[in-house]
Amino acid sequence: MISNTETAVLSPTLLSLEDRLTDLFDTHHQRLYRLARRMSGNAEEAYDLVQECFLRAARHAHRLPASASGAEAWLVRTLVNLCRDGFRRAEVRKRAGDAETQEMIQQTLHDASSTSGSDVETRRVHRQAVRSALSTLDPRRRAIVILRELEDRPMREVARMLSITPVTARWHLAKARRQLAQLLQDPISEHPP
Amino acid sequence: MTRPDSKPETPLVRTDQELPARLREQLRAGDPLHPDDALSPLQATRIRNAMLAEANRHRPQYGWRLAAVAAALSAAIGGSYLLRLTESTTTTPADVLAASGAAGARIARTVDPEEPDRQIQFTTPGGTRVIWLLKPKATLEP
Repeated sequence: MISNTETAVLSPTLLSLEDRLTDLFDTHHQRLYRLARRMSGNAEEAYDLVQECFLRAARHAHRLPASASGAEAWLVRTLVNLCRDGFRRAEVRKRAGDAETQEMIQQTLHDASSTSGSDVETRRVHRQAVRSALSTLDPRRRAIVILRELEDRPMREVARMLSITPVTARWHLAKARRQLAQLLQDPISEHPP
Repeated sequence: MTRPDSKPETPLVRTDQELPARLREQLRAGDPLHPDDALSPLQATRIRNAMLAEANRHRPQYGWRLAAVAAALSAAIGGSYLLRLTESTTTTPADVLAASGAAGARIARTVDPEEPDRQIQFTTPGGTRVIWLLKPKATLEP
């Protein structure tokens, strides 16, 4: 944190930049954290993603769009790109385990439906299955699914945030839905007794 | 009573129209985000401080830019002054006209030490005579 004495000698340009960054942070950090939490596997990773996102904003403050919605879109894109970097690194490791991932999701859902556990337990298991299924998606598709299906954002806004056309966003959403539907198919309805 | 060959209530193959609603329901039921998931005030403060420190480290350095601009301006002014000196000693309007090959052009340059005004006269190929009177002391009036 910059002390008062330090602030006093900073140039007006830097002061306004700091004000802007602070405003940006105060406005978007919780919303960005929620997105990161849904995009990533755990809270620590989400925290790291949000921090890196705002560090990049500080490093490239001159690239931040002037409008509030533009700045929010910039942050979302940065977050998705950070996820993509991590996804690419992990892809090689995961590729061999794709079949196992699908099997694990199916088994998790099957266990949840066949056992008469508590609601909390069922919800936890279901959450685990959804998280695993989402993690198999490319981060951009994952972001589209989260923004559209879980945050109820209009497709036009989703496309604008990710800097793609609405047609492309819809195409990715359709692909992601099919992939998720295959992973999350209900074992009871798919395999009736 | 249902026939054995009747379709189950939940179709095995869902259509594109049914898929989004069913999937959305599933995703929301298993939303990875807990309702109380949020950055704690301490975490938020840490990130904000790290961000401001990073901004401070990457603040634009104006010193060298100012020096570069000043050097460029000095070079431009000095260069133009030298160029003007060189042109006044080596090149005359007559040279310029001769080089341009203006047929029939004629130039007369009168320089009076007492009167520093300069005059340029030339005739166009069509016969029009043009006289330019250059007064160094002349001032532009609105």
